[in-house]
Amino acid sequence: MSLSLNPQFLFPGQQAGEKIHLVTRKHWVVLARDIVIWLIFVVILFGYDWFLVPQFPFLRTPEAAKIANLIKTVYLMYVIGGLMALWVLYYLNYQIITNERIVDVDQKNLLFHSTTELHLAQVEDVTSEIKGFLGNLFNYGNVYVQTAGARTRFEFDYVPDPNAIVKIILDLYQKIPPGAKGEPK
Amino acid sequence: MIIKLAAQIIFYLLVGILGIYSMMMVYVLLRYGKSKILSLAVSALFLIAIATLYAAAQANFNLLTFPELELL
Repeated sequence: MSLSLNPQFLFPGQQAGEKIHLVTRKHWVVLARDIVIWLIFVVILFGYDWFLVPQFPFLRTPEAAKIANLIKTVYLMYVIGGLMALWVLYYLNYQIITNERIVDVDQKNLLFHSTTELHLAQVEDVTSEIKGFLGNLFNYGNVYVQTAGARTRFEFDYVPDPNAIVKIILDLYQKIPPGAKGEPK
Repeated sequence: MIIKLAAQIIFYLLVGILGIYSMMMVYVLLRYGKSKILSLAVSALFLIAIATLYAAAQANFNLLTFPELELL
């Protein structure tokens, strides 16, 4: 299945006999959209050369050009740093569905890493949601897993093919022995 | 002199902040990233790009001339 990133994928805490059915993260379109938005900062650089310099003659003096070059290189370093941060946060956020549980690995910022687990037996309701023009065009959206626990909703944001993910979770839920359902293992 | 010192402080502060942030990104990526090869490759590319831009920025900074203004 195209959703799975690597069938041989292993994760910390994986138990013996636990089989991974799906590893997924945000759709690549979401990353591309964020990068395009971020690249507006690069357009500002070109805007300076194309619009500001012709308008203001003092910006064409050698001294002003030296200062502008310095500011532009430092600015570009920050733009590239921001792009790297976007990719790192995209890459380190993913969800794993195994035959026993759902694992949500979150990297909210560089210093906030969290891993949340949910046993499939606790699942009460699974909902998929596709919204927006891009979501419908590229078939990505959100998956909400309702649980009986204190945390009412377990969310997968902007994942590819949310309907297929719901089906995988429900199929795996069906395979859980009836006595184990509704309570943690 | 004082203008050059102020410019140096601002320049190295900006570069230092980005340097620390970059190191944090590389650390987090190498620690939590599933594929270490991909993490290493991306980190190396990023560090090369940042180091190149730093060299350019340093060269641009060295080209600047500052008016002599002594505090008295």
